[in-house]
Amino acid sequence: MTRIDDLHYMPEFVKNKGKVIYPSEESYGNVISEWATLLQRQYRKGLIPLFITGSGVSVPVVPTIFDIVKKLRELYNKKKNKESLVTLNKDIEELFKMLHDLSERGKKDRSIIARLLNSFQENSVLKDEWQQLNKWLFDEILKASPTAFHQGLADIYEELNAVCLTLNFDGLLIREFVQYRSIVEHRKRAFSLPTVEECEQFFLRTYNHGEKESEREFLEVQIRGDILYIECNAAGYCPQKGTGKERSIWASIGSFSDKPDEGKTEIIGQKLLQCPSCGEPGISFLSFPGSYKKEKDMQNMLSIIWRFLAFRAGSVTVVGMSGEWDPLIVAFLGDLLSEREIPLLVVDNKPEATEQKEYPYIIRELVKPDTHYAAAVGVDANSFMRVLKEKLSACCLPTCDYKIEFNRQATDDSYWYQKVQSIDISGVADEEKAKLEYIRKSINQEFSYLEDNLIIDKLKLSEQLNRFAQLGLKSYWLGTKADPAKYHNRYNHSIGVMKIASYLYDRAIANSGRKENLCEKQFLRLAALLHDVGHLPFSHLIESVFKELNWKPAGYMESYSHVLQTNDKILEFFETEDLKKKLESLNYTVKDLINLVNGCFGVGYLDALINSSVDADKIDYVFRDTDSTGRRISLSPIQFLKDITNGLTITPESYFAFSGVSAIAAQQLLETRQHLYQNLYLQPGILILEGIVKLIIKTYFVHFLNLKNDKLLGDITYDQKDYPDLGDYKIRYSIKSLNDLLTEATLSNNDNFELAIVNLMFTKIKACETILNTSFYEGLENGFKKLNHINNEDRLKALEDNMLYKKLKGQRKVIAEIIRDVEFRMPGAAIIELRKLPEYLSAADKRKEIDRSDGTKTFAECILVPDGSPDSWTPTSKAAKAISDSSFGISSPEEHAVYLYPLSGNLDNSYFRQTLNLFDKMLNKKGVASFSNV
Amino acid sequence: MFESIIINIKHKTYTLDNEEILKLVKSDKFKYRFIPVVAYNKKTSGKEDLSSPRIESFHKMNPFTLYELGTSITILKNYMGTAVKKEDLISAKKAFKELKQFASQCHERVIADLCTQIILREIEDMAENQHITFFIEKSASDKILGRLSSLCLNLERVSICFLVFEPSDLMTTVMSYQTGKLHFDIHRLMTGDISDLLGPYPGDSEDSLIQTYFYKPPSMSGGGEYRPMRLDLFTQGLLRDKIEEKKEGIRKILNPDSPDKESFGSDSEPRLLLPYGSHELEESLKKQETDIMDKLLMIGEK
Repeated sequence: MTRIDDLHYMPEFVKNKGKVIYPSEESYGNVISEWATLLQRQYRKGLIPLFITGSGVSVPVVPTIFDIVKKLRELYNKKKNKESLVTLNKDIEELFKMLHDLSERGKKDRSIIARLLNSFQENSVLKDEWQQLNKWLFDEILKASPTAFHQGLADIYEELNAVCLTLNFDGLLIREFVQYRSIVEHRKRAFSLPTVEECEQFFLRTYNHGEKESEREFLEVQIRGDILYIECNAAGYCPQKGTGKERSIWASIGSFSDKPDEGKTEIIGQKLLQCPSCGEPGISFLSFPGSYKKEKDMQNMLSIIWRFLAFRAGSVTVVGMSGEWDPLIVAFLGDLLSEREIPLLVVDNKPEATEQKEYPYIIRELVKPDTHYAAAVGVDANSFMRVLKEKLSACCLPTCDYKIEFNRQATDDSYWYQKVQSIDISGVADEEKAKLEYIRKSINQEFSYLEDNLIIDKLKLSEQLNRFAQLGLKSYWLGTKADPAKYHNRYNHSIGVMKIASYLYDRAIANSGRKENLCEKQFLRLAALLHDVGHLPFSHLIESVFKELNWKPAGYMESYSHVLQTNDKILEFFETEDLKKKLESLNYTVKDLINLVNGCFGVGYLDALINSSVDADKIDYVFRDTDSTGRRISLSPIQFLKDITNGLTITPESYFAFSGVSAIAAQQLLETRQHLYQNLYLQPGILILEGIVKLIIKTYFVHFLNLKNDKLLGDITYDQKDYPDLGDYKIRYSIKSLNDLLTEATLSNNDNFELAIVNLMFTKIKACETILNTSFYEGLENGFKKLNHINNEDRLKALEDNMLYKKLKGQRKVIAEIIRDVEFRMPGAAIIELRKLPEYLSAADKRKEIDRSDGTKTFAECILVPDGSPDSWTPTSKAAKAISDSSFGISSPEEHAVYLYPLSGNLDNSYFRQTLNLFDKMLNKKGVASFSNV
Repeated sequence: MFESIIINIKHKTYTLDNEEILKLVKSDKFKYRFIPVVAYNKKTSGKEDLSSPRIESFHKMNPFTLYELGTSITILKNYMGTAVKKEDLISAKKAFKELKQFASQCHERVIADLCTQIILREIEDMAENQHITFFIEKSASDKILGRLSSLCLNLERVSICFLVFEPSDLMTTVMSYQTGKLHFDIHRLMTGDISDLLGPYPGDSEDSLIQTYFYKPPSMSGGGEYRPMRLDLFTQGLLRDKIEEKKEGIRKILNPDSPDKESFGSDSEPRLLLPYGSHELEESLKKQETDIMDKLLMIGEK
């Protein structure tokens, strides 16, 4: 399977991957045609085409840096001749000479040009020449008109929601919108934003009351190339004077509605130079920083791009940028292509390598190594845009060939159905009644054709998920299994998540005045239904087992995650052509579905609904598990469903925005979830019992591992992954063995399959009792008996009365290592568990902070909440910042709870006391403070 | 009466030498290959029934790409920790040096897996009247200790002993952090007129996974010395008297008069005293070398 399913539709592009194609070649037209189709296909999915432009797109109309240097030399020579001097400034002449020599050898050096420009700027003798240069440059830019490329790009902005990152300061794209596309009644709103703050504000904007989606605003991000500034030059006081008060020219150039044709240039120039405070004419100056300063500024801007934009990109088109002077952009692109698995097309006027000249840097780094889905075309920007536009006009994508209807009664799970049906609406006011009716209708939507096929015809989904209690072994230990009304399995939960996701989606679409998109909704519901298919028996517990054994999967992943199984399972579900085609008819691929389940599809509100800190999964399990276990929480499900959508909108940038009541409801949900982790999922007794289960599974895995399984070794030999060690093999082997045990468990009388698997494992361990350390085996056997004995809350409480609790202060990693060492040294003496509460704001793995080649490290956002502390939010608070910037659940990261349970069952057991002493001794030795010992 | 079985385990990781690998670098992309091999044989104490060496390896496995241009920094950091900068890896030589360190940890893990499997298999197959002593050449890595500890084996009838001969490796890491007293002890052991099994060092804590002893065998009857060695006994969950018992068992095997030992080296310098069969294992690994190196080169050309 190729990494990007969309490439199935791009055979010519794939064939030319890693190559440079020229217009004379037959494949040129086909590649651009496929690229045009890709842009349209991705637009339908809600993904954006990302463009990156360099000076090459403005070459015909705006001076290049070499033109600027040439002009400077002219001005310099003029002054020298005028004053009849042999040398005016030795340093400057040396720099001119160095540039000349480099140019003779076909080379260029940014730092020399920066030094030259700065020398002019700082030299009082050359002050007039510097001002003349700036005025000349300013006039040249004002005279310039958008090129065919800018016009075409503006069309793609309007038709396909493109966004451009530019290194240029000419503002030509914005001028195309504001000056050439605006009409009196409808002025186009387009912005070229140069600062981190301005960009962030743009991405965080929400619709104001009464605004419609059609009020579109277009953004060009100025990622700190070189900048032409205007500075107030008034003689006296002016608040606009001084460092940091400069105005960038591109930010205002587009806002002048007069077209800058011949006669008017001078007037526009005067207006632009005019200081907004004192009215005096300002002066323009060129800022051309050295590489270090430029990269530092660029890095800040790229952080914003990663946070708010990069994840939404479905493709990247780089035009007129060689990357020679912008290695950071190339590093950014390298990571973007790898992380998002998206294709790249580089457009370069003269890409060919000769004996004297290498390929442009971006082609050398990203196209030629053939590691990305990238190709280059050797053509100028305008010609490329003409062909692309032509192909876009000719492109016609098929529409969904079947009607999406929800027409089968969704009776498989009745949890939410009963909740909404149980409300008595007879005496309720009309407005409230309408709300409740809406919830009833929306949440009880029936199954569609695709859902039916996944669930009923194939029976795979239900088989996969029906086997396991949603609470796993906890449902046995808490005694919930005894009451069928309270019992729920993963399948019930998956349908619940689908219903909640569907309901929230409907409300958010309606609140935002968006058109309903049935294809998108169907896509969302499928992802919700499949969100848990990757879980193995024991769910997250098995992830901890592999982590504790330090077995790592191939591909240099830090640890095993169920996500790896999710991908395989979803592929398995869609292995039949019929289902795959039905999905593709919605305009989505299987890979898109996998990405959405993993929370990294790229459309913020869809990702937020499926895999985020406030997703449909959490809503369903918080209420369902609470009901099932009889835990008390302050939230009522129906009130919550009303509240969570009261103020929930989709922003212009496709993020989920929780404002007012919905934000408060989201906060309450997060608080409740945290409460459940402390008092249910990770309550001390459960933690210890899960510790015993882990010990049994680990012992089983290490003893029954066979490193000579030819089938698995064969798989490793022939697939293309990199295997640094046997970790992946051991994981595969163990998963296979787990699935074999599951098959065996289904034949047993035990209807909690996970407990049945543990029992089978222990039986096999018992058979090799003689080779095990006696104390260890005795401890393990005692623990095993507890797993079966505890089947209600009273017994769980009795277990909790027989354990020790320590509050430790120190690094988590150090404490975990000490625990491992103590358990190794004193086998079978105790279960020692270090509790790890989940983060308040969980995020999809792919959206988490990671170190990147461009030096950035940021989250990829998809949810906005009001500003300030969650405690201060009111029903009128408006979403204004990313949820990761909010102050949810900030606690001391240094404090950790550790629970110790003697496997003998006796706290006074001498082996246990000895273990405790060793633990204390090692904590002390490693500087971990223990300040509570109960 | 127990029948005492002695199993020698020797391991080696084959890789092309640095220059050879660098020759394979093409367009900033190369693969680092290694093939870890473990050889072992078995004999009954006091009998001449030494088995032929058996070889375990994973040469079929795909070698892994250490670095290629365009590799994400996240992946690189997973290789080498957070200190690495992508620009450090622009030259293939630098990349190679950095990543080789990571690779050495990978093959340590493979070696640990192979050794652990051999030990487990032999223990499972041992008869009720048998006692097995495993001698594993080279010091115990964290990886092998972790794997052995996870098995929680019954060590009543099993001794696992790591043998270290190289003078530079005689001191343990823990000792390196200690005071000069231990240096003195090692110096005394190397040069002094003593012959004994000394230890355990650095302490005798019963909760340690490893008990370290130094051994300088008595001089040969016809004159001549033996090289001192370090013995690391795996003692998970064992009490003092049991550890002493194991120590004595090993002393018995490595006694210059024991039928279970062999020695080699020239007469002009101290000879190496080893469990019987070690030399044959060494020879069998040497025999493998040409074949394995050919395989490595062949993979390199793919």
